[in-house]
Amino acid sequence: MTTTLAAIGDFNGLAVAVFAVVLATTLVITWWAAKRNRSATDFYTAGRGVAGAFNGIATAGDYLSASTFLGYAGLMYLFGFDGWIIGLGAMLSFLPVLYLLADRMRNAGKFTVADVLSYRLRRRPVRIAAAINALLICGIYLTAQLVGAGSLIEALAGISFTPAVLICGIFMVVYVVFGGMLATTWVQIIKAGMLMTAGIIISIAVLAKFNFSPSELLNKAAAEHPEGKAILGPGTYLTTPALVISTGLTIFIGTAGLPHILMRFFTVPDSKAARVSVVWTISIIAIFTALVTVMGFGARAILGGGAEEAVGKGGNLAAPLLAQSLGGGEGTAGGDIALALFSAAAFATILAVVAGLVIAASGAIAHDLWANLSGREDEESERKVARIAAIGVGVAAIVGTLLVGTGFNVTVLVSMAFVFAASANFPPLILALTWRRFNTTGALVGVAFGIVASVVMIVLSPPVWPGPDSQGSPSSLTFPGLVTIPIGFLGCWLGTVLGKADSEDEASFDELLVRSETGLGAEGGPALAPHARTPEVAAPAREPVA
Amino acid sequence: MSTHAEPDWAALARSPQFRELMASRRRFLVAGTAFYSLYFLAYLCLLGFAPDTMSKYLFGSVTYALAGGMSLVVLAFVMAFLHARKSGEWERMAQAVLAGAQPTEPRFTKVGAHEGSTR
Repeated sequence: MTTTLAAIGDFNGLAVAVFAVVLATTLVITWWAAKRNRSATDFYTAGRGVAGAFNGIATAGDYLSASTFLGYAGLMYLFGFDGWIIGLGAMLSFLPVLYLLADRMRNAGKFTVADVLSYRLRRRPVRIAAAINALLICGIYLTAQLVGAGSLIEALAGISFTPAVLICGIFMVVYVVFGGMLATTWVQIIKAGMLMTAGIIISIAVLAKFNFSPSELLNKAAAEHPEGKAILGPGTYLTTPALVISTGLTIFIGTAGLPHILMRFFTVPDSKAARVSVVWTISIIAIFTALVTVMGFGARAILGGGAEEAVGKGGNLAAPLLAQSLGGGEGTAGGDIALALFSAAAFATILAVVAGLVIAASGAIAHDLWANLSGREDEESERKVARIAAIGVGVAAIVGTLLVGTGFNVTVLVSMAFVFAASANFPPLILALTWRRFNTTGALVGVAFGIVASVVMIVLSPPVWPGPDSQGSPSSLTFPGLVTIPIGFLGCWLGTVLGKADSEDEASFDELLVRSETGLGAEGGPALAPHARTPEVAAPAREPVA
Repeated sequence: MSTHAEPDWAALARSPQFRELMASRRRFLVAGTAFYSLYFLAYLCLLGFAPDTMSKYLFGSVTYALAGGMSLVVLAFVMAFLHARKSGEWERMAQAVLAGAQPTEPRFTKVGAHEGSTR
């Protein structure tokens, strides 16, 4: 079965019309949210009024970026089973988020990850280190998403790369600056709903074609692949044990260290709601992870080997083409409508994820750097600075994206974001919450070790060394977490034992422990008093917003 | 800000109610984290070191690798469910800690060890 796919990349009026509807909807949400966006608490955390279930759906939305939703199906189209391993690691990473981080973060943090660290470590240096981490991770991830978005919109709607990136970039800044976290959360919830609906419909349609027999689907997929039945088992893409284990672990730990995902747990009223959130997130992502096998193998079975060029280098267009084919094929009304609707879901995904990244990055600038270094503590000024920072981050990301353009390998960028998150962000956070002896020197050395090791290993990896996508690099690991995560932890440990003992860091462990385990002193927590430095601004009860 | 009392964190951390909460949390969270992490690591090692075995068919055309991945999906649900079932207990235990912690002052507002200090 072959499909001619000339239509992909041409100007697609129907897709553009559906995009316009998506944009209009998000603007209405932003307008609604803007009226409720008055303080820094509103800006970063939607006033801590998001219900657990909704935050859980939004968190699943943060995870379901274009690179996951389209990328995993595409990887499975290209490589079969091996394309699934990254998705499995990402799904499981929400277990450590649930078990180790979500409720403690909500209890002990205010706006950013650095808040948790600064309870017990010297706040200036750790805030600067945490802000560097957040900006590195979010900046790189943002650029990767925008590059992907530009190419995707170009392919789906026929709008060329530069205007596509500009549209996405401008809208993300508008959501964040006017609607803050509340607008971003609701865009995320709607988009997660659209994606899951699309995923379920496509999966059922695929299974129906194969009489709901997994074996029939798998046999047809294998028959359409040059490697045949080999694609049903491991070894086609991640070819060595080190590659399999390192890739799986980097994603497993890295997702749990992404600042824009951790930040979501500050939007709920209390630690109980934070736990409820993650259970919702895990449920949605687990269903998605099961469905993606049907979409990935289904794309191979239905589109056949002939579509290999049309799906693009990373296979990103496999899922949209599958939707088009199931709708009736190219040129039919059903096919066009299915493609347009699917593209709308993909478009909404991009917009929502980049907006969340911009909030996390502006939190690092306004809360961790500006408020910390200037000593200014009122929420109103901080909200102003955060909005300016959001514009700055947005402009920088757009310019960066247009400069690197489509020539840049998006996989390298995504890999870098996950490696930094896993190796430099996760170790100090988890140790601050659990290890009494951990001190400021440990956190700083750990962050430095994590960042340096990540940069070195990525430079030595196949996509970068000795030339783009070349053979003969010193390291075979595109996702080098197997090496860099232990180095990050080693740095934390070395710094702690070699640095001079800090009795205050250790003494304040009790405070962080009691706060994080009981919620005492947290905003909206059981003791009622906010831990904000400006209680007169933060304390008044606000109307529930979600 | 200094007019507000700060809870005695060290005393709270030493209280029997808090120790009980910590012990219960630590037992469950460490065991759970060890279980799902080792499960995933074992699965990755099997894929990496025994690809031929993992490519054998468990039933129909479904390989051990695919079935193992689906078992991870089930694992995610089960671990999330177990955690949710246990967390109600922790909420009650945290309440007990706080009940013993009500200060003589009306409300306390936090000035953190470092946040408010001049370090």
